[in-house]
Amino acid sequence: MKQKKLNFQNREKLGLVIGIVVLFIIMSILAEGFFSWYNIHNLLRDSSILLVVATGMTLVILLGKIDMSAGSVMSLTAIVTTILLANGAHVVVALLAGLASGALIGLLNGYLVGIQKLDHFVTTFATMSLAKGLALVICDGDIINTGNNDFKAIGASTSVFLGLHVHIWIVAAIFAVMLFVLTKTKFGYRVYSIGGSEQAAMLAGISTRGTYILSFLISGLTASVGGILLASKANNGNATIGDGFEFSAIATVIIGGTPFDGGRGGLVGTLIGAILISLLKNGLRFLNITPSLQYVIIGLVILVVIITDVIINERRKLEELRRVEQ
Amino acid sequence: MSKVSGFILKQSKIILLVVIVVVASIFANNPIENIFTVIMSQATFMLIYCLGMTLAILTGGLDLSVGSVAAFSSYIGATLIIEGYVVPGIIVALAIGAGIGAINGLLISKVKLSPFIATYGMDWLVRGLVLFILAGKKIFGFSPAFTSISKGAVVEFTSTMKISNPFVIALVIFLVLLFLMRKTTFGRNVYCVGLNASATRITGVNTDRIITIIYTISGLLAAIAGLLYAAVLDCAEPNMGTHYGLMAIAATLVGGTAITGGKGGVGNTIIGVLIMVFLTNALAVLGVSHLWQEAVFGLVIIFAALMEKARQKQIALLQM
Repeated sequence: MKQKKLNFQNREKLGLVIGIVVLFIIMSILAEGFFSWYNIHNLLRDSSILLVVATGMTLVILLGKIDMSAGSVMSLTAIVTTILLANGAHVVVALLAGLASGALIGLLNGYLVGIQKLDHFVTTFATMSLAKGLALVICDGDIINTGNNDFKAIGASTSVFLGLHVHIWIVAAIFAVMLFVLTKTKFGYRVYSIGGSEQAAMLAGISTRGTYILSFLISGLTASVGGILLASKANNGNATIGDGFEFSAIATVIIGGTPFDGGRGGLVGTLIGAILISLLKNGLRFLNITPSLQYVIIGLVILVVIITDVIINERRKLEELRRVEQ
Repeated sequence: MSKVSGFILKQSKIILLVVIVVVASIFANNPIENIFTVIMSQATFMLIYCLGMTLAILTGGLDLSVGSVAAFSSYIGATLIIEGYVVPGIIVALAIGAGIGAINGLLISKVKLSPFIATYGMDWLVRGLVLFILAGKKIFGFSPAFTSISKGAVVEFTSTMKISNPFVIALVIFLVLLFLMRKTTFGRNVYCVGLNASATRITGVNTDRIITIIYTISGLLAAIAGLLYAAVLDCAEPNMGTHYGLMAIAATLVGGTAITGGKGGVGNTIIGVLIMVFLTNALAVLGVSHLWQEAVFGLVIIFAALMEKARQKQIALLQM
């Protein structure tokens, strides 16, 4: 039985990989210049920013919750970091302050959802506007140019190490650590068991509060890293830099095979999902489709994926019920 | 002592409203005129789409697509109205609003998407469509036949103090919904769906239909709000209503309708809307930058949700 289920999940992932390969081949034929190391490297770089935000989001969705504030946390972090740099702070101080701002929003989410037991949608929706509002207030609605070369070095396209961009290395390291945490540590097991059934986990003596707080904290931190990477790429910060990113991150996780119910799935699927979504965005750009139409197409694809996922899960639940009855 | 604290808890929203209005009035140049303008030019428009959000929240869901629905339907309507087809334009706009609302309702009731995901996804999709179709263009210069819907007044005391048309429209919508929710089986069933959808279904109520109707109403009200805004500003533009969803959730929760559904009502939302608009007004007359608004709204939602939680705990203690 367990063997069968594993096979099923692997088959799902195999389907995604085949989808990526097919999309890649089609794009290579259709668009000139798509099949080049320059573009593929660019694509990996784009997907690394999406992946790091989706990594934290995976934890939260595994718990059966959602973090809507991720995109705004990216904006807030970008603003906090760049404004400190613009005012002459050391790059390490600025980066730490940026991460701290994301951590604070993450902690607030964790406290409200984990301890106060407020609805996770409403809570993270409220912190989303809180974070974005704070970002707007801090930057006064302006774009902030850092004028800092150390910060620029993180994002400049020439910052390549062993053939790959620094962004990709940073995200790879975070991803590896999170993969280890989720599959090999007690905390990881707790996330899966709470997502499977919170009540069962509580009855088994698992501290749900700590797990919620830590998961939302990690989600805030990974969103912060995403914001820093995005800001370093442009070497400036503005309050809309992360707008809608939470939606892409959620879609990445869902496409990667972690359902909204939580308890199933994992980071490997998220990695595949991030590459698939970035490939889609990159491909649309190559086909000279206007940004607003790209927006519609990607939104539609994401919605279709989420709807299919929900329908499949409903079916599965019904089937399981039937099996129990038999 | 307990009587006093009980009174304060019970009437906390009214007291809060009065305090905010007093603060705003002290700092305003002409308090009475200020109160009139805020109610006539802000609260009435906001109330219309907030009522839709209230209905959605009463069923245990919410509707985040109100802002983009208002922008999309009023824009499509405006393309007809600018050509002189005022009535067909209005009908088309209302039909689009109701249609998108119905799709939301079907996604939630039949496909069983979470209301949040369905309407948030719809928000992005519709906003993308608006941006794509409009390509940043604005439509303005409507005929008086259209703009007078919002700019006209029923009773005019002075040039700034008047009972405006939108106020009457909002009042009529409110009274219809109040009757619908208080006096009809449909209204009772909406509360039942919010309290326990599966139990309601077992008793033989068609819950899917109720949810679909509620989201259709919400879409329709968003379209009405969008049209009224377009008429008063004499402009239909793609960025209309980006904060509607946020403000409507805040106003509904502050009014005392529970996010879990089944508790509260359209009457609460009037107080919630008044608190929100006078809060915005107070910030403005105190000279606080408008950039603070978004952060303040976020804090207000968290605060309202925490208050609601505390009240539930107190009720649970009393029942023990």
